[in-house]
Amino acid sequence: MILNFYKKIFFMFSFNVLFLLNIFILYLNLNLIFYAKNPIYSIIFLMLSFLNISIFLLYLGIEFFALLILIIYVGAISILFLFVIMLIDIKEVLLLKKQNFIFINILILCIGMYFILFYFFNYLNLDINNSGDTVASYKEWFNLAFFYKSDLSNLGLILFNFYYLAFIEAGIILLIAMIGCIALVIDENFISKKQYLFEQILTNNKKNLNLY
Amino acid sequence: MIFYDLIILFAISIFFIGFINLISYKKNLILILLSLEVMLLGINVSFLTSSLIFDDIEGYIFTMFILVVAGSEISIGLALTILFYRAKSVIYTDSINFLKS
Repeated sequence: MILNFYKKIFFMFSFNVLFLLNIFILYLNLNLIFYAKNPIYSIIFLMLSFLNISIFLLYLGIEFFALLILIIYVGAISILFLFVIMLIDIKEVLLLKKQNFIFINILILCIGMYFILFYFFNYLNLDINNSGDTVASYKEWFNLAFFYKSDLSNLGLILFNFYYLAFIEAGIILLIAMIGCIALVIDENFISKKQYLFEQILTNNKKNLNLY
Repeated sequence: MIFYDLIILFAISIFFIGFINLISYKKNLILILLSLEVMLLGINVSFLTSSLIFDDIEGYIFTMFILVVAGSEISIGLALTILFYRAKSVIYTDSINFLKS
């Protein structure tokens, strides 16, 4: 069992060194989010970790989600964080960061989780000769091998045919979130120098005609 | 590929990085939201790799919905932090005691 683990690490080294480098830099960036004193630096490390995740997904051959993560996470969510930190004056972060820096315990916990999941609850039967009973079962979509152009085309074929209702509901969720954010933050007592043009131009006969 | 389970291990490690930093930095609201994002990222990666393992498209579809929900939830959370900062002028979760008499 343990020999299998080391064989896999050996194969990972022989596969691609850049893949391992990507994983290492991703791990570093994720831990540096919570180690940086300045909150802007933590958001920069968050953006770099999203970039590393997108490159990681390119190695797996999921090019659509690599680009989608760049657009959504880096382009929308990180920018939201940045705007909020611009509006907020954070000085007490320096006081709260004097706690212990947890870097190695996470790795130990993950290795423990690996052993618990894959040696006591062995639900993933990744042998070529599938001789065991697996928990997961296959669904029969229509045969996508004839229609294969890219992962995006297959996703569209399933999403708009079988999950169209969920797609529409996702749009409704986004609409409600947008309305909710604006309704939360809006301030009625805000004095704005808005001009009401119709009131300025408006006249009536009592102003203009003097019938003495 | 030979090492799908190591990729899932890595996705679980991303989740646990976010989780442990969530419970250790409970006093700062913005770090809580950042760790929530990191957890959702780890879950996304695990769904995508499991779709590769089982050769099924459902993993892709569910990640799209997770991305939708993540975006909307973060926007509302940040709107609430802005409101909280307006009321108290600090970002310190121990001082969320508006209902206290």
